[in-house]
Amino acid sequence: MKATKRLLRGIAGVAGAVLLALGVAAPLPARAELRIDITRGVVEPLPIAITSFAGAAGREAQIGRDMSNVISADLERSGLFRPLNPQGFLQTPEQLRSGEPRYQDWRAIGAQALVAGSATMQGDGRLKVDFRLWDVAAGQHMAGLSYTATPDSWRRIAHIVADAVYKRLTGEDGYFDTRIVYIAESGPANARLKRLAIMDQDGENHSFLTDGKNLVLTPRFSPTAQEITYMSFVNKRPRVYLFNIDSGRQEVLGDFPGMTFAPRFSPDGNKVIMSMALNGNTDIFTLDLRTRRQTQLTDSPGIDTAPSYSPDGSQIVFESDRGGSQQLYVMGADGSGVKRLTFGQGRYATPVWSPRGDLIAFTRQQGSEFAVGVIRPDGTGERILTKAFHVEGPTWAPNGRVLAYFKETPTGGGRSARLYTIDVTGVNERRVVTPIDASDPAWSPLIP
Amino acid sequence: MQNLLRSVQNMKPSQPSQPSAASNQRQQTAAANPPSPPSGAARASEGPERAFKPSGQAIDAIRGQVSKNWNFDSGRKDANSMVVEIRIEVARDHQVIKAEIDPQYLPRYRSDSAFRASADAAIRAIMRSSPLQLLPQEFTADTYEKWRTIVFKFDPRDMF
Repeated sequence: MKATKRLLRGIAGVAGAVLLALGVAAPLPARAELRIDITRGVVEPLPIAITSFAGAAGREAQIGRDMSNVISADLERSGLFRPLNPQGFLQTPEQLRSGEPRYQDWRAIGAQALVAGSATMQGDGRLKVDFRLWDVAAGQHMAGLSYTATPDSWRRIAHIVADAVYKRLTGEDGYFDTRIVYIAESGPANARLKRLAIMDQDGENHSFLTDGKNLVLTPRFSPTAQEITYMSFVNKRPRVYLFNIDSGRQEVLGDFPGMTFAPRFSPDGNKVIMSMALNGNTDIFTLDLRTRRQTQLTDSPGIDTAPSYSPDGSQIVFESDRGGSQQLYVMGADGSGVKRLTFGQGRYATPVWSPRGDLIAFTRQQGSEFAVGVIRPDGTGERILTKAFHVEGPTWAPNGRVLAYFKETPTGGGRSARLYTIDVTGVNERRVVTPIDASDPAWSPLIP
Repeated sequence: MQNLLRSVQNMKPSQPSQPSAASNQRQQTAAANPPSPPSGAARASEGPERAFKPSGQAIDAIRGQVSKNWNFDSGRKDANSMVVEIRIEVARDHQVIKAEIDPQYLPRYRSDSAFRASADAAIRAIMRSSPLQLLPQEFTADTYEKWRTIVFKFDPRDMF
């Protein structure tokens, strides 16, 4: 091994000498040029000035103010931006609407980016929203867009504007125009009422989708964000269901002989992958939603469950105890080539492949401690993002940058369950406010 | 909800996006500058004039100033591949007159939105560092032509 390393170093040395010789032979620059490497920067939220979108008066004034607040809150919650206090702004929103920014005024208050816009009611009763984004440090316009919508969708347009700002400044898609479905819990531990509930990613527009008559678990969004698959105990029989958000219609998925659970859509939305338990054995199956054809993917004596597709649909990560302890495994979409992914201490569960493909999130239980972490699909780079008495069930924001999960904490007589989000770097943990206890969140794709 | 979705219409941009600072002078740069020499921590390329070699203290001062202003998002996908070189022109009073992306990075700048955002952050770091902290005893009026152009290579390798 050492000899190989020495040989590689030797080859590198020869290559270096060749490059040097080429450098001498190459044309020389006309003027000496000083070169400096910067290899370390700072990681801090970008100071951004978001001016009021408020229109002249009345409703458009209120909507404009509210939109600025929503945009500001979205960007602030991401942890990547620090909205500045508008009281310190030296240029008014009106001046920005009719002219260019006075960059020196924005630099003076420490802004590095500037957002301005307007919300105006049109003659046809629709709301028109314009916004512009500038790079204050470079003194350049970066983006500008215009939207028209019904006035009651102002909140959604604000999220879309926040996504546009996020994308231009970070280079990655935003995740603010999204929703979260979760299990809303109430009542005593021995008679817990569990309902499907849905809300915007910031906790607004909350509503319950089911009445709690039947226990529901593990909701997951379809790629169109219009349907949810989940497991429900109807007539004491646990089976996988499909729920249409617009119509409220529910249907049982597939005619399986055993109990079905842990469902999740394929990335193209054409299949649902799930587990079926029959005669003491649990394996993974898919159901084609167009043909209703069932396909068995695993056939091991252990419990194979919690399957999740890679974003390109070519692989599946799942949990299994086939090796003696509960660990994560990866296989091809047809069930071939099963490889063990985790070898750490403790039990690994609830794997979810990141929408950007680079990581798999999981829950790990080690002794009495739970953790949510991430690992690369090749099994390297395992990192724990958060630990708690009970933390579980990660779900990715559609840009693969933020995760949501639920955390239980012991209270006087029982436990309290809450939803949280965290940046993939393990910082910026934030609570998502829900009206009652909450567990098992699932983040939607960007709403089409 | 369907009604709500239908009601939101994404219109075309209210005005075409103007090119950013990074792209502003790219044609000019491509025409005016030959390919860069291999990068290094801090050195002057050899040319017809004698090389200008600032002291380690002088380089550390500049590097410290720019590093503090370089806000790099280490959580983005493939963050370690976001290496970019920015060529700047400095005035005699150390103000940054011009900062532009080295032409070799422009194809990626145009096609990769994450790289574009990362390169823009590097330009911001330079602009926020103006005037540059150039030690006056070394960056003298006599040697101005030798430090008028500086190439900064932003490589986040020490951030992981």
